[in-house]
Amino acid sequence: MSKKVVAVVVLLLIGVVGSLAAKVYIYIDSPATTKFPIAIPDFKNLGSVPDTKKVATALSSVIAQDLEISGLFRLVNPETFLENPDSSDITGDSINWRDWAAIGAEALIKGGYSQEGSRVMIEVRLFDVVRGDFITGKRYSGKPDDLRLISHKFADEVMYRLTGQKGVFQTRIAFVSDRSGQKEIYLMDFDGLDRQKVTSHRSITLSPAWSPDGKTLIFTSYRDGNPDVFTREVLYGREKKLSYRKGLNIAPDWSPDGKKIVLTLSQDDGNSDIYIINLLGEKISRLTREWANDVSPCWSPDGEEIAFVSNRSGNPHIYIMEVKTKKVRRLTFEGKYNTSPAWSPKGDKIAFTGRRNNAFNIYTIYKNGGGLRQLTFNSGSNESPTWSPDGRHIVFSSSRSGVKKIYIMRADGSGERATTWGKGNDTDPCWSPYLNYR
Amino acid sequence: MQVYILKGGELLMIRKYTSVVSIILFTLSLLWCSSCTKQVAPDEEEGIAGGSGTAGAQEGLTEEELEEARRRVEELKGKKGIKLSNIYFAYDDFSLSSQAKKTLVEDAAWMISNSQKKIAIEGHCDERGTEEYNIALGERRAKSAKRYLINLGVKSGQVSTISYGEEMPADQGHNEEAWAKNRRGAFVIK
Repeated sequence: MSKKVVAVVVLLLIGVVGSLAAKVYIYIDSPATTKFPIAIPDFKNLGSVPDTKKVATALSSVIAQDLEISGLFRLVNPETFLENPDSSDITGDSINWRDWAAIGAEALIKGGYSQEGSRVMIEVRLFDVVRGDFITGKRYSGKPDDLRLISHKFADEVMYRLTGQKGVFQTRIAFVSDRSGQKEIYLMDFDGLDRQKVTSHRSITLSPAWSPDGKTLIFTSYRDGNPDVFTREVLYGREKKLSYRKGLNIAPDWSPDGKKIVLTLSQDDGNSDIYIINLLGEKISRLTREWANDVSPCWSPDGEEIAFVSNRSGNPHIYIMEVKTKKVRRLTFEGKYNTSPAWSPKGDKIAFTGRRNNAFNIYTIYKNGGGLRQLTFNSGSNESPTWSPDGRHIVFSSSRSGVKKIYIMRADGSGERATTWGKGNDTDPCWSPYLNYR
Repeated sequence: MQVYILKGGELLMIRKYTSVVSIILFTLSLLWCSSCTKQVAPDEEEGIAGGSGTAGAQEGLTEEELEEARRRVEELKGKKGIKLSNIYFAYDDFSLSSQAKKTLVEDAAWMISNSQKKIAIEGHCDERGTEEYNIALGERRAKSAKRYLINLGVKSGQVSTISYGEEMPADQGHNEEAWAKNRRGAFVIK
């Protein structure tokens, strides 16, 4: 459970700043060229805190790792820093900008921490090295357990100030793991830390998804002897059985307006079809009627369309249905097995699992069917992609290490990194929306 | 009783008591088979999702075949040593092979002879492919077996179905041998 961080926002204006017109430092949507160089020295101990070295590097290294994962930043090598850390100033009053410009930094983050009773106080500032200007600053107060979250919060702030776009560093990933001996739902930070076991169904749980406000999880569980759909509040843990009809109740996805769930039901005839139900579990509409297996529905970000998997052509492929008219068009034509569609929050692309020559890999395709692109190669089975809420990252499951683990990568396939480790198989990852309540 | 089969597209006269139904089933099974060859490339081992949806017709089952099977069920009923056995499926397929049908005849005989026992048919898949798609496939496999059993005289209320997709393999191996063992319809006495 996340702890409340009391953020005391104190914007410290240094010298004559005037109006800082929102300068765009990084054009986030332009094709990747050079990365923005940023220097992040260790945070400074401003008062008595035990375990100082660990805290100092923990704070700066989490911010550094977040920015590095974004793919937009190059971290200036700390060994080249010219400044003397002991005499350095974190407020910006007496920073020697030339020291930082000389080693190639264009932005600089400086922070410090102190302890007040059982709480830790952190103040951190972002500077524009080229202009010698203060960009933004924050002061946070929290428990020692909150340090990572505080670092993620400031990394999000840095992203926002330099790119104009919200960062995803406070988001979480839900996934399934059998490390306890049975498949249960787990949560972790997007970088793999702070992993928590969420369910104790002691059965088989599958395919978690998030409500758009990030406060509820929805998933399938065999707890009661049948694949049924459950919801569970993230903060309070209250669970509810939402759909428990005879046959299959699987693959739920929450609508962008938060009011409906699309899922697969097979009822009694064994034929898997797509239905929409409301938050009481009542059927609103039936979207498919064919003899084929229709599974894995996924809403478009505008709620107008649903991508899903159907084997109506003889093999599983991805189709798109317009919800209002129920008109269906086929999206994938290459290969003989394309499943697990996930619609990018940007609305333009769909990621999916494709099998070619017995190898499973992650692909993306534009919603009009063009621009098919393979993102993973030569590394075991790569499946179940979902997108970060900014559409810049994809999380997926890969068996490349021998067991299935969760990996994240950028939307162009670069920057693959494992976010789970340890024993057991980790699958079915689902990236949370922005979690404004953290 | 006379049976004439005339050449060259002329009338096919059949036994009176099966009459028109047999022609329809036979024609439909031909049509189903022809649609098979359109969809499956020669080197593909995948099956197609069949299903004509016609009442009584099941994966090209003719009335004759069904009667023969029912007869064998009658023969086996009450016999000592009949077993309740699992059936197995081809990759990405839920149709019943002739071996599966043979096994189901004995399974039906067992169930009719033990009609007070409730049976669950579990549909399973091998580990390849997407979990959700495999749960749907497992459901088809379980229903496919149940439908055949009902055609053979088993009461619907005695049999329930459930799909586990790829979630509960019988063999944890990652090779063809293990996968073949996992693509099963498993019979469980409840």
